[in-house]
Amino acid sequence: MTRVITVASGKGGVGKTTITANLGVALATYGEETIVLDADVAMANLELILGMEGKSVTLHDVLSGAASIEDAIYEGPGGVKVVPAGISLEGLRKVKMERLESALEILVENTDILLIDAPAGLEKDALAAIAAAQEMILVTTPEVPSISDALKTKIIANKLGVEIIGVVINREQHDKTFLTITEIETILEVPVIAVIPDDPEVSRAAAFGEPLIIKNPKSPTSNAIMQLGADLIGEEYQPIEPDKKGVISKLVEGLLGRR
Amino acid sequence: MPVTESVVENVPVTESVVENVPVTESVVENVPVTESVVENIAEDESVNKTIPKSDKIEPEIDQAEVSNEKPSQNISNSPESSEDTELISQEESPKPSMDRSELMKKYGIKDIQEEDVTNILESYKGGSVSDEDVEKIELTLMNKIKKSTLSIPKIKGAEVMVFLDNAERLTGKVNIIIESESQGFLSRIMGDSNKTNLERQIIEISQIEIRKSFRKYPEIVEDFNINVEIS
Repeated sequence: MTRVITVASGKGGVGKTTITANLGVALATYGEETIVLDADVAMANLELILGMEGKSVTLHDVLSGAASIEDAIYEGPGGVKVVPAGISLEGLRKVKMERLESALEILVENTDILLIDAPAGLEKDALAAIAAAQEMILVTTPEVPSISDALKTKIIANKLGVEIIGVVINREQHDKTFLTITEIETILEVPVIAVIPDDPEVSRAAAFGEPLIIKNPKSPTSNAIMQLGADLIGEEYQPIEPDKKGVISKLVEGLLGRR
Repeated sequence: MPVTESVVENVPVTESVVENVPVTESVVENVPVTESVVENIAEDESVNKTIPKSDKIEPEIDQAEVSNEKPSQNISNSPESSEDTELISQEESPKPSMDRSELMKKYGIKDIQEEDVTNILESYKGGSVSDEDVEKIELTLMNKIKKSTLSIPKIKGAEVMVFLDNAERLTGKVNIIIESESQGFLSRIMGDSNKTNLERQIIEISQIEIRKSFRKYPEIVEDFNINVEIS
């Protein structure tokens, strides 16, 4: 049976889209037939992170009744399938989120996992993305506003009968001004399933339009997301060791012709 | 000295005994867990390092297994982040058990109220209605459209029927039968254009009434099919 998992946050800018995109690629690399759907029709970014902008048919077209969902599925990096939202604001007014449900019914037919990148906030489009799923991953940063919004999202998701798998803490920094894992778990009453450190590599990968777990699989963020993917499907994951050699030793090895 | 069950039962366990005796599994099974034991376990760093695993991911694992196994979800699996996780644990370990309401107060976070939840969910439904309300809406719309239609000077009588379908989304059909005032000779010659104008006017008035009835969801008017018959 297909698992439909929405990745939601409440607050915008917490890294939800980055996590969804990379988690989708991670699941695909484990051999799961995975579709990532960008339900953020107003502020679509998923296609930029995956380097898939400019597709002719997008979710915009599907939700405005101009195209069928099958035409909006594209092969993405690592074998993940992607339904981009479409960056153009043209036609946004014609979009009817009610059409999302019937589009998803078709999508789940031939897939193992459908990941939905939900819009921030609790407007109609965000609620449609949450209600469409059976399970939800909450993404938050360890800051108060972000956790406050995550709490609201969790409560609404519970009301809609969506099961919360857990919380992913993104951009973790060892700073006492931020909330600890235990504090976040206590407030949200949901287990923390992954902690992703603050990592400048994420922005670099996004600038290149490449998922981080492909561009830099040794980074702590990549390892954390691969581990999260493995946990979701009950797989084992062996983290990739980072290259610990210093620049000078690499230079020396290079000069000596060693590999 | 190997600790047997009988020893544990008969000897009063003092702190020093506990410290010196290597605890085996069988001992753990037989010793009743007191509050102090629980506190000590909670302060154990290895327990704190384990990030709780969602039941959804591996529902077959029970609590005991989770606490004993090497946590798969723990970032400490990552060689680069092992230091990070240790730091996180160090931060957490001295903390006593947390009271949620105190934490919420400390950070100024509030639970969302039931009323707000209802309002948010209502907005998601786009103002959709329960089946019990459908008849009331039909009647209200009928009266409103009829009243507005009769305000057009040339109209002598009007019958309005509203049929709502509340299946997947609220849609409707409005049938309006109009009895217009007897037409003069000139009007009869003008005939069709006047009739078309009147029809258009009635449809517009009906649409305005529908929009006014669903102020938060005015686009619903697109889901209404309005038919006008003028006799």
